[in-house]
Amino acid sequence: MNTAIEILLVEDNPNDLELTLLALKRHNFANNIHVARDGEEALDFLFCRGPHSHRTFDSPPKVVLLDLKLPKVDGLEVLRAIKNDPRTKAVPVVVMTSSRQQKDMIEGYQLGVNSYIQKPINFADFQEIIRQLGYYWLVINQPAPADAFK
Amino acid sequence: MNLNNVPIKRKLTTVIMLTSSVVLLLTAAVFISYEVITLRGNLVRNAQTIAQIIAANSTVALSFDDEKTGTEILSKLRAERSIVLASLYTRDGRMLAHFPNGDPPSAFPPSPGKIGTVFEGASLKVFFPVQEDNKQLGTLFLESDLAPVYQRFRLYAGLAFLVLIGSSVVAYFLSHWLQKSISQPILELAETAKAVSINKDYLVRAQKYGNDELGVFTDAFNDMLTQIHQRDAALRENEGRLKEALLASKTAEGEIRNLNAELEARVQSRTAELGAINKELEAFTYSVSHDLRAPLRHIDAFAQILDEEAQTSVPPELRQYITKIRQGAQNMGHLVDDLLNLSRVGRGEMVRKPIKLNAVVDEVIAEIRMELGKREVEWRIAPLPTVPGDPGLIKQIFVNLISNAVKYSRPRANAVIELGQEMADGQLAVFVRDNGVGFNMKYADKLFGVFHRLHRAEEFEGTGVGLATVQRIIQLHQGRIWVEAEVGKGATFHFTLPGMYNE
Repeated sequence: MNTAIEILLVEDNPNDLELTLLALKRHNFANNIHVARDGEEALDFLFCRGPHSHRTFDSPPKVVLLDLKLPKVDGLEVLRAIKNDPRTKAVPVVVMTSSRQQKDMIEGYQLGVNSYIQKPINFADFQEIIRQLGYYWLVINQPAPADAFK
Repeated sequence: MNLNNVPIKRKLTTVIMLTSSVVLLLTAAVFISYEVITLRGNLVRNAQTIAQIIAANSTVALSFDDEKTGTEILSKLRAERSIVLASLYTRDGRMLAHFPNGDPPSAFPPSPGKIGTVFEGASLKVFFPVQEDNKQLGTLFLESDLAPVYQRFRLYAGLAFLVLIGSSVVAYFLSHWLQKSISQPILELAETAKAVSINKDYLVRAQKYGNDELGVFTDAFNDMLTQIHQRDAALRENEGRLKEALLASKTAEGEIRNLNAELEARVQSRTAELGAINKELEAFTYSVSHDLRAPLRHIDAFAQILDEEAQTSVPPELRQYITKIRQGAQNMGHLVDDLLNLSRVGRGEMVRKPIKLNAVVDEVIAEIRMELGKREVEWRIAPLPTVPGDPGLIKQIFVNLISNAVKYSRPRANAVIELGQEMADGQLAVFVRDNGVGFNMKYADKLFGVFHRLHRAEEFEGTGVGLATVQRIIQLHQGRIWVEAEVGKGATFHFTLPGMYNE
C-alpha cells in the first residue's frame, strides 16, 4: 500500500479537526492524511525529526493545511520555519483559519504562503472549499520534483 | 583775537570798551582837527590883517626908499607879540628895513618870495604886496611864531588823552556793571544747563532777572525743564511698567513652558496608554474574530450534519429547530464580521489615493449579482467622480449602501437601483437610490447608529452595523452623509467626500 502522506493537517481544535476530516472524507481525500495537533508536532513531521526521524525530506506532503492559532508553536512560526528552510521551502502551505485579521494575512503572504483561506461559518460552504482545495492540490497541481527539497 | 571762545563777560566788556574808546578817539580827533583848522584860519587872517595895515603904512617909505621910516613902521609890530620877524623889500627885491632891528639880515629871507601865506615848520610866513594905485611898490614879509599855538594843541591832545583814559575807566566800570544784566542771566542759564546735563536733575531752575528777551528765554528754558521733567517721569514710569510687563511675560513664558512640558509628558503618557489600549483592542478583535467565529462554525456544521443524518428519524417540525440553530449561528457570524469591519475603520494606516468610483461600483455590483440568484435588478449607473481615499474603506461604503439598496428593494418586482452624482450645497455629491420599501424620515437620525434598525429581522435580515460603518468611513474622510426616504417609495443616500472631482 502506498502510504506516502499527501496532506499534513495541522489543527488543535478537536471540533475543527473532526469537521475538516469529515469534509475531506466526504470527498475521498482522507486516505493519506497525517494530523499534527500543534506546531511542534507539525515541525517534527516536516523536518523528519523525533518520532518522524525515519522520514526523508524528498517525500513531503502534497499540501499542508495549517491553522494559525496553535499551542506551543503558532501557525505563522511553523510557516516561517517551512519557508525559511531550503529543504521545506517548496512544500505548498495553505493557511486555514477562522480569523480574518489583515495583519495575519499580510504576514502570511510575506512569509510565502501558497493560499490563505478563511473558514466560512456555513458548513456547506466549508465543505465546498475543502472539495476545491483537495481537488486542486492533490489532483490538478503538479507537485515539485524531489530536487526541489534540498 | 578770536572772540568766539572768550567768556561772555569779557566779550561784553571788550565790546563796550572798544566802542566807547573808538567813539572818544574819533570825537577827540574831530575836535582837535577842527581846532587846528579854525586856529590856522584865524592865524592866517590875523597875519594878513596885520600885513595889510603895515603894507598900507609902508607905501611912503618904499616910494622914497626911506629905510628909517620903514624901520619905524616895522617897529610898531612890537605890540603884536606873535610876529617874530618882519621885513620890507623894494620893487627890485632889495631889503629896505627889517624887524627886530637887532637881528642880522641873514635871519630874513634875502629876497621876497611868492605872494601868499605859507606854514613852514613852527612858523607862518606871509609875503604881502605893498601897492599904491594898483602899482606894486614892494613886498612885506611877516613871520609869525606858532610855538604857542602848538603848545595849545599839545594841551588839547593831553586833555583828550586824559579824557580817554578817564572815560575808559568809567566805561570799564559802567560796562562791568551793565553787562551783568545781560551776562548774569546767560551765565545762570549756562550753569543750570550744565547742572541738568551733568546731574540729570530736571528740578533745578534758572533764576530770572528781568522781563526782557533773556527773561523770556529763562522762562522758556525753565518751562522746557518742567516738560522734560514730566516726560522723564513718564518715561521712567513707562520703563518701570515695561520692566514689570517683561518680567511678567518672562514668568508667563516660563509657566507656558512648564505647562507645555507637562502637557507633552501627559500626551506622551496618554499616547502610550492609548497604544497599549489599542494593542489590547487588537488582541480583543483578534480573539473575537477567531474565537467567536470558531464555535459558530462548529454549531452550524454539527447542526447541518445532524440535519443530514436526522433526515429520516426526526420529524420535520423538529428539523425546523435545527434550521433555526443554523440561522442563528450564521446571523451571529454576519454580526461578528460586520462588527469587525466597523472596528477596523480608522485603525491602522489609512491610504489615500485617487479612486475611480465607477470601477469600485462595477466590482461591488459584480460581487452582489452572484448573491442575487434569480432576482432581477435594473441598474442605472451614471458616470461617477474620482475621489482620493482609502480603497478598501471606500469600497466598503459601496458594498454596504448597494447591498442595502438590493435588500430593501427585494419586494419590488422591478427593482431599480440608481447611482449618480449631483451638486449639494455647492459640493459634488454621490447618491445611491432605490425604489424599495423606504422608511419614515422621523427615524432618519437613528439610521446611522450602531445596532439601530428600522425593520424587523423577519422582514429584512441585518445587523444594524452596516450604515454605522459607512458613516464612520465617510467621517474619517472628512465627508458628510445624509438620507432622504419615504415609506413605500424608496430611499436615497447622499454623501460628499472632500476632493471629489470629475476627470
